[in-house]
Amino acid sequence: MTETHSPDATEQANPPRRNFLVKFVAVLVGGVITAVPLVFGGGFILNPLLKKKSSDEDSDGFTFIGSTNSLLPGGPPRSYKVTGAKQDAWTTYSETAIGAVYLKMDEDRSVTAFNASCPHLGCTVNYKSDANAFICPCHDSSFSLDGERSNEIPPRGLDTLNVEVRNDNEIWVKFENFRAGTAEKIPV
Amino acid sequence: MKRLLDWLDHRTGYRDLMHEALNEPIPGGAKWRYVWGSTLTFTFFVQVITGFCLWMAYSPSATTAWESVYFIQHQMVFGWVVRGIHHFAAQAMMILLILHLMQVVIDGAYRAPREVNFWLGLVLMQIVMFLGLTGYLLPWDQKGYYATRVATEIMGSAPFVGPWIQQLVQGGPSYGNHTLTRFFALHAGVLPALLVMFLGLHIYVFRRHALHAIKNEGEEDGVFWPDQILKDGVACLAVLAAIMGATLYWHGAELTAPANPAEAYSAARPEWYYLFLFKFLQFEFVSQWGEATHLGEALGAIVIPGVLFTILALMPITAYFKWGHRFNVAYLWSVLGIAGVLTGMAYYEDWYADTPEGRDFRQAVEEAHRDGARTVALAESKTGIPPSGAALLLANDPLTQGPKIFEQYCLSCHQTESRFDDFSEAPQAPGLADPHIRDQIDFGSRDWIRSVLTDFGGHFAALANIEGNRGEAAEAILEGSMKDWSDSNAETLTAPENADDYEALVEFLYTQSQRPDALSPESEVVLRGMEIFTTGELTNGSVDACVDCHSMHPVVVDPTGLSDRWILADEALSEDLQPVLTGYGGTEWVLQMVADPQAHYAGEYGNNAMPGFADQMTHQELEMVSKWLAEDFYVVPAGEETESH
Ligand code: FES
Repeated sequence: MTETHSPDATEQANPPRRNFLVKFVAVLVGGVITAVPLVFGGGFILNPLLKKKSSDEDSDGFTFIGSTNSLLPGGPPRSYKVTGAKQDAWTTYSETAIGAVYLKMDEDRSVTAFNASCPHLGCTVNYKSDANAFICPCHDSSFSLDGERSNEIPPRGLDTLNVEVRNDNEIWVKFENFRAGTAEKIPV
Repeated sequence: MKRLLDWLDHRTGYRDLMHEALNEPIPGGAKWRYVWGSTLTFTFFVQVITGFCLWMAYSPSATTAWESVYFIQHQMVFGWVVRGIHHFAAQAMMILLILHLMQVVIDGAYRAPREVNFWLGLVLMQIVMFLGLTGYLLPWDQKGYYATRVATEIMGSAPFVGPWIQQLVQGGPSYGNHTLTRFFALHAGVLPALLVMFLGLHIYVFRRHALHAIKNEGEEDGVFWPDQILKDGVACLAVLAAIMGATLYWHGAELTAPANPAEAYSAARPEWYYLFLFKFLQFEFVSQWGEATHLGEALGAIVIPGVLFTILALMPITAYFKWGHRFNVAYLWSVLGIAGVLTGMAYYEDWYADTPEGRDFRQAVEEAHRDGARTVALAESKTGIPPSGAALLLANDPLTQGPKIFEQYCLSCHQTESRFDDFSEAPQAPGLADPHIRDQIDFGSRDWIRSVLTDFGGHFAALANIEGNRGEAAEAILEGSMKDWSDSNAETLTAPENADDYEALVEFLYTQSQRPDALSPESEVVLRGMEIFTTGELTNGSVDACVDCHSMHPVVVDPTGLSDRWILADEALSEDLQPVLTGYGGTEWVLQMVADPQAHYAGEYGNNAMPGFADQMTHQELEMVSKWLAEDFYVVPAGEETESH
């Protein structure tokens, strides 16, 4: 083992100016070589924030849900699965379940659609016929049939969705999801 | 600030630690030859950063591995950069390892009391080599898949326990999901953890014995900080620059077509640092010795490398003998030299040698590039990657599969001029397309139609080479009514006053194929062509009407707008006549023609000289070859081509 331990030897040997310069350059070089991988890695990890969602729709965003014949005017709401194309990172699903809606027909045969996910924290709400209300199984949020909240648990009522009846009896819904836990209805 | 640092120092003693770390004395001063260890540690740091990033986007399974790497490479922010850095840093690490080893051996730094550290270094080297091996498979592309299969087969050839080891590594008797999960766990978990452990020990022991300094006369002593650190930093910067340069130059690491066990890949090669072993195993004497010793493959692939490595590991002990150090240095140079020569030979044979093997290799590489780019193009098309994985995109792509089927079943009769040399037999039918030039289809093109109309005899001249029982039919075709039509009408058709009409007739026929560049059935030219097809009346003179001999049910634009394809008109121009010209040159026409030419082309009594393939090809094959010949495949829209390698 070498025991020529004399840290101050170089301090004396090198003039302080030169030594400072060497230190400065050394730190600079160290900074650069650390920064380069970190910058690229950082950008990579921030991908979800930096990459805009591709608006692949050349359709109008409406999805066919079911027939008006499956609803009674003034009758109870019914739940429907929404299927559609979905892009999940690298996979393209041509037909897959993307959510659920409640459809309800009024006496005047107008159709209302609610996104079935709870505005509280996103569970799927149930329709309870005995209470004639929507009740969420997770934290008991409850909503009247017109979607208004009937207790203080959820921050807002059920989210309505745009509905169109096409070709006499086809119900088309513009399916969207909204952020949970906020008083406003903010699309995600 | 000062007080805070004092407090921290009191609780942790960090100043002593820093002092210890930074003020390591260097007898003889800082030197460039000491930088290798630091560059290796730095490169490992780069691998950890980029590796964690890739980990966040990678999915190890047979249907998602290639797909997630594709997504990294082509869709994510800095994806190709991060993957490229990870790839090239791995190469850099191997080079630096060799340099580090050479420096240690040549300087005699492996001798007592540093033997243990030398062995630790050798363990680190093995870990890095395994990291390379396991990482190569993860993209699950043809290149990595087939190269790694060779490596696991070698493991399987080990005496006694080989087959068990192979199964353990593969996660089963063959490659699949569990191969990927295991390789990934090794690559991102087990091996890096071991590496960190051994690297820690390596550095600890290194510090314990201090640097093995080479002090020359009259050199001043130095200290680690800042002199040596600056040199280390500059060396790291150079390594980083090389890695970044390679990444930018090659646009990141390559991604060939998705792994497909059903699709042979004849350019399987290991990474370059295993190439010497690959070449060594190819020598005949290696297999002969293997046979003689009953060790088989294991002799060349495991036993001999094992012995060589043991000699390397014994260096610190060898050095005790007189001449021992010189032997070690000579040994290292010769092993590296021979490995270098073998690597060079393998490289030359693959990329430069004008041998059948060399040509095959280069062609296979080119095809792998092409298939990789094609899969990416398909993945970026509207269809995207189905949940069943991207391998299917290629398996169901007519542009990829059609030419292969054509080569196998059709080309020997339908030779194109470009391929005459490949066959000893004369062609027996007109050339349709050359599978090697796959995006150029002669069959059904406008030139093809013109040639059939005005030079029927010349166009089908190859039919005269048919012998045997189909020969009679061939002769009848060559002397048949279409030949007469062509001979007697060619002059009228090609008359200058009729140029527009001739063009219109050609366009009308071409539109029936629904090829991408066909004119719409509603365009004036095509409607005029239909008129001529029906009546035979031209501006100047007339020809015998086509409808007299051919069935034709022309296409029209779909009035409901539901389909992008044109559909058949309500009424046919003519029916029940062969050869059928409905949809001429389109997918369905070709499919019927290939499957059962007698029925489609000639009818029950007509002359047909072509064998039917309905019983020889699967439906999938029929569809692929027909779609290819009819140009019914996805074409990347101009201006949307993405950069590939
Ligand atoms: S998520 Fe529905 S009540 Fe909380």
